[in-house]
Amino acid sequence: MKRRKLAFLIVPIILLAFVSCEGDIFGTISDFMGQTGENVLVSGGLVGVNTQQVDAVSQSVSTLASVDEETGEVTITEETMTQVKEDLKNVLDSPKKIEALKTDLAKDISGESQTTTAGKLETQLDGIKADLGIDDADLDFKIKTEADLLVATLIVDIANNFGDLDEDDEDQLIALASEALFVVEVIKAVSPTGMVDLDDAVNDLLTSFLNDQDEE
Amino acid sequence: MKKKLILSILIVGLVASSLFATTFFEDEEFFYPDITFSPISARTEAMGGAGLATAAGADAFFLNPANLGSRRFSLNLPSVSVTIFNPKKIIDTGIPQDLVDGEELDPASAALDFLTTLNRGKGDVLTTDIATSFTGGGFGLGLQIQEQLHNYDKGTDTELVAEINVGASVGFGFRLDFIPNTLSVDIGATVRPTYKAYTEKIGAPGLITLFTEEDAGDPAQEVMGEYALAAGYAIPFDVGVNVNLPVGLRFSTVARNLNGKYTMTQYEKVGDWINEMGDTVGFGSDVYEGDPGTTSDEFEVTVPWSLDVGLGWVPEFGGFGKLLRPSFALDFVDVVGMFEAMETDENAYWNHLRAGAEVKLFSMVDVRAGINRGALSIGVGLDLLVIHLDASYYWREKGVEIGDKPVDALTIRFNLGVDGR
Repeated sequence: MKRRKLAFLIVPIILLAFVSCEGDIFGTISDFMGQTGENVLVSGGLVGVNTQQVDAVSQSVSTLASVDEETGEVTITEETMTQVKEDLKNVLDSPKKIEALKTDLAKDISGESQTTTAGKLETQLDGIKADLGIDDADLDFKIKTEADLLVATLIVDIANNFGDLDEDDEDQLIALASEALFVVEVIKAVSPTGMVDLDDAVNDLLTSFLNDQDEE
Repeated sequence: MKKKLILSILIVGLVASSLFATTFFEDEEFFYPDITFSPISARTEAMGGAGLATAAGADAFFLNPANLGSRRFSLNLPSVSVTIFNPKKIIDTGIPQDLVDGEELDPASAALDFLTTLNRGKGDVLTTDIATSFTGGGFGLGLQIQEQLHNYDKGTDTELVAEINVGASVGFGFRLDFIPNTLSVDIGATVRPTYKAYTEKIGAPGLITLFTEEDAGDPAQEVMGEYALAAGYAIPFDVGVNVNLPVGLRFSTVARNLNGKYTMTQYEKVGDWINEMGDTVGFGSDVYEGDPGTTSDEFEVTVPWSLDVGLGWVPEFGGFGKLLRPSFALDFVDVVGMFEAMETDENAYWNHLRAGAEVKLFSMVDVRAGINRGALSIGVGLDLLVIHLDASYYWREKGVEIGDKPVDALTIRFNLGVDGR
């Protein structure tokens, strides 16, 4: 009978242990959950993660955007962009693939072609900033790595698609928001931890969509 | 303005990364082609999904009917399980913390936060299982109801599918004792008439708007009149065989989901189906008040059968067994598919491996762990006379290949009755 009493006591004791922990209990639980997320076959080297899509993205970064010799404008290959997005979606589902992509894209940009494209993309992004009325000097950025190059290309690609957008078309706006969320997800994945958390900003934006719809 | 807001976010994102530089619907569209109705068992999930040779009580209906041959008594009056998928990502959104802190949440904002926690492609959001069952003397009877909310893609692309399964299980197993305490064989079968209904993919942003708009009509009526549903039945059955050896060893083989042919009908409107169900159970008036839609001819969806094999070991410690009772299970699921896959990939067997262990302490506390395609599972159980509580936290590889798409889940189960272990 004593054992039964002990069993009844286990639940409150465990709960007490949890709530008495100082600090962020949910953070602790999340950390613990993360630690159990490691696949033992992968970490033990018995099974290798297929990084075909990671390799495809890494190899496409250089050819995704280029500078047109005649016009001097950045051109983005639509077919390659579609494929890169598909591959990225696959990569973003897998922490191991994200890790591999992060490593691959941490390389500094090199070669005349990449440098020229990066320069043009920077100019184009500055133009977008100006259009948006952002003049904060702290928000000046440089494309240093292949990860920066990839993200800059994705943003310019979305910006290019804005021309055809009908602001009254809810489906188009939702699709645009979806694209934006995707790019933010890529930014968060390929950038080092500690970067600015974009969740709140994106959430505010999407909530404003719904509020706007309510008002309309 | 909206365009500018989106661009602003992207610009901030890029700067941040730079600074740190570093007709109806397609009937096959959502129907899981390889999966029939199967309740989620907190115990089995904690053991990595393994347990062909060690499952007892209500778990035997779905894992191995030959285990009914042990003639053990079990009773669920009832058992209720709730499974939440992606709990880690949900915690990381900060929503649970805000709820604990008593902060007021904006429903639309919280919903969108939640949608970003989902996975691309097919996924699960929430599953609830309610079951009542009896096993004893080799017989087994059970009634299971499962509600599932699936997702398709994430964020603003999220589409949801609601599914309900109702199954009645009737099983029988018996033991052939060839050499007492040395060699015996259990043979069992379970037949499981199942009724299944699932909606078409419903866009989540539209659904949120439907429920949050102040001047919208009755959201339930809107849903019932707007979306399609498919429903139907099958009478699948499982057959299992155990070979019981000395020192608690057991080899098991189960042919699962034989006759898994679902006869389905599509309803243009969910409301049509709800009204039909209401008529069937003698509900007085129609729940759906809108115009009726059309109903399709019957069509068939076949869920393939599979052959699973397992090894279990439950060492007997005599009197010491009340203090410590371990059990181990190692299963290979769909061995036919496994051997076919091994013709091109000799390591394909890892995709079919499930392994788990359970230790029962003082006859009342269970500690469990396991692996499923290499993904870890853990769990605890508490057996207090007729009250049983189980909690399991586990990862599953939902992608085609290991490492493609790990997803976590948390199952909490409450059972009133006799567990049968």
